Amino acid sequence: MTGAFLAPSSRGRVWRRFRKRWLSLGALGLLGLLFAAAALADELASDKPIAARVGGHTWWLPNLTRPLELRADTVQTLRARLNRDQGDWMVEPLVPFGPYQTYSGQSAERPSAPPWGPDSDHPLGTDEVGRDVFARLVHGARASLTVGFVAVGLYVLIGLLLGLLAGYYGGVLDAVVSRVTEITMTFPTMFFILAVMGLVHVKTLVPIMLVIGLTRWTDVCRLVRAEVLRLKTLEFVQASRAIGASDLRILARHLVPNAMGPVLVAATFGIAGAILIESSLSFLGFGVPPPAPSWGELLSQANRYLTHPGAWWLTVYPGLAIFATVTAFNLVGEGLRDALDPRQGA
Amino acid sequence: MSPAEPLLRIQGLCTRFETDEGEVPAVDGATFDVWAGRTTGLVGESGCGKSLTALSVMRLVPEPGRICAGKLLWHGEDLLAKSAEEMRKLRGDRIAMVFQEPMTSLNPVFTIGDQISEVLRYHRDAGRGDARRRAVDLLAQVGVPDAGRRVDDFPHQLSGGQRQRVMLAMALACDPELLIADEPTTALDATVQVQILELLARLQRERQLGVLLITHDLGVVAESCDEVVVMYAGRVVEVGSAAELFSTPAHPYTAALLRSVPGRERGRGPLEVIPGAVPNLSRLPPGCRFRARCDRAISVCETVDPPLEPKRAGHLAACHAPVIPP
Repeated sequence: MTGAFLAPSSRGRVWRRFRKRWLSLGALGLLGLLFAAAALADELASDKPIAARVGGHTWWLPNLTRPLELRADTVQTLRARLNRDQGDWMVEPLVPFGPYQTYSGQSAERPSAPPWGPDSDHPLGTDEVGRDVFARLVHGARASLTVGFVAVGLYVLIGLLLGLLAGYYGGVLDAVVSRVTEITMTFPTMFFILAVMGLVHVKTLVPIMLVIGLTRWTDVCRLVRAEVLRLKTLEFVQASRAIGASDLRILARHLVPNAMGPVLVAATFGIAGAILIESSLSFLGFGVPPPAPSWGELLSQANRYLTHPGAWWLTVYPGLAIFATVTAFNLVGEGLRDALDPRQGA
Repeated sequence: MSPAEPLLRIQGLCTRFETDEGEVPAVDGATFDVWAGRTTGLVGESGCGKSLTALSVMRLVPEPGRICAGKLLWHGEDLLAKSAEEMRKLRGDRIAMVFQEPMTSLNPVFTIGDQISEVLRYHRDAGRGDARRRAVDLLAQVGVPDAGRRVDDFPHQLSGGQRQRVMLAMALACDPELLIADEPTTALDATVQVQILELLARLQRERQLGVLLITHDLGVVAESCDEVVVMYAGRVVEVGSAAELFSTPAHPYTAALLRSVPGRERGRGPLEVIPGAVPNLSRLPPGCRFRARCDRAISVCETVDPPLEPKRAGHLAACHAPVIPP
């Protein structure tokens, strides 16, 4: 019976059941890789080395610290200045191009104008101004994940709070919250964001995250409200009143942890949804401001090349990234939902 | 050395439910005392207002119920006059309660040690370490074997009997004066039931606890109560010492209850039952509430609701035609 709770008492059991679903487990692994890639984006793709000793100077992580002395240098120029006889060395990123760097190196096998297809320099090709697709994908993951987590974090917070209050106190408060929930559910988030972007003239991710957070909390609210309605009839809530616990304590200590399971599942699906919204908006040009990288923005460049079979890498790789990420979040959510389902066996 | 003043004196307690079909007087004028160091049994069939009386004492009557009249004199002070905050400080500290369902009375997501500690941290401002040591101590006192290790168990790792012991440990954490036990053994099987009752009796002796034991099991009453209060349809119909009430019940309802306990007179035909059912509390007929099911009813029973009055020394009953002892 206690399987419906994601709390210390059932963590082990939930994990044991989750582990049995290899598809969800694989998806979780994939998300792990994605997080690592987003976190280590500067080590995976950067125009500055990870660490280097050039001409007697040693730099650690110049791709993060951006020292003035190396401002004009890139991995390519440093390669040329590297004097191994004098003890110089360099640790290069996986791909020696940053997300903003336009590469103009002409060579025999390269046609004169970008986009250039995948080759040894650019494993996933470049976009129409010669920026590395891999670098932009890896750095763009940050935008997607940030939107996903911040927006969902915000709406879980709102939904949790309103759901708790409505379910616990009932009465007028419940009626008001329930009506507001129903009204909010009718808002088309996507077009709401477009309208807001048109009004505020702030081309960052902030309004996107805010609008998603402020319009998508309804599912969480309804889930939490229903859970609280069920939980508050259980005797342990009455028992904690009988030991003198206050309402606040009962809410925070007895109801929230017990209601978190379904919320977690909803949040996982929600992240996938938020990432899709961000990608769609960036695709339309309403997302991150240029030249900041984003998966949707990469796809929008591809739009221009769809008519003739030129730059397939601009469609396939960002498309794959969005597809894989959204699918992975959904698979993890599904696995979590099944693992938390008390009707499934131990 | 019985003290002069009862721990808790319940006077004319009325608790009503306001429903769409009108007011339901679920507890109607309940009057009885609970003494320190003694166990008062509160018996009656389902829906007679036993549990609601207990919840009224805790002032935890569920919506849409209201306490609408009466006094709850705790050491002479009316609990009903106390503020919500004062009441909250009493709960779990001076007055503790144990519930019927040990399976759902503990929060599934915290260890039992956490939950016992919570009471101490709440009322005694105990530190984490102190509270934990005390929790282990309490678990040992209520007979949980290997308490030092069990303290980190989650409720689902314990059996029903052990959970009820944990509930007792929680209730006793702050050394309360009054323990209200609402059918503490109903959900347990017979052998465990005996163990819990024995534990309750031992704890009561050791701590001079006043216990209000709510049950519908007359066997439990005979086993562990000093005084007995019998309720019927929201009313107290008989109050007396356990010994007297069992040997010479005054109210026909009590007498009928005692006759319908299986196994008392073995093998003498079918089990006796009380005919009819408890009347609908929202449409009570005038006169005595037990009249329709009573084999001793006389004409006055139809019009006058009998008051609770002494029939013998220390033995009260609400009946116009009490059972005369043979």
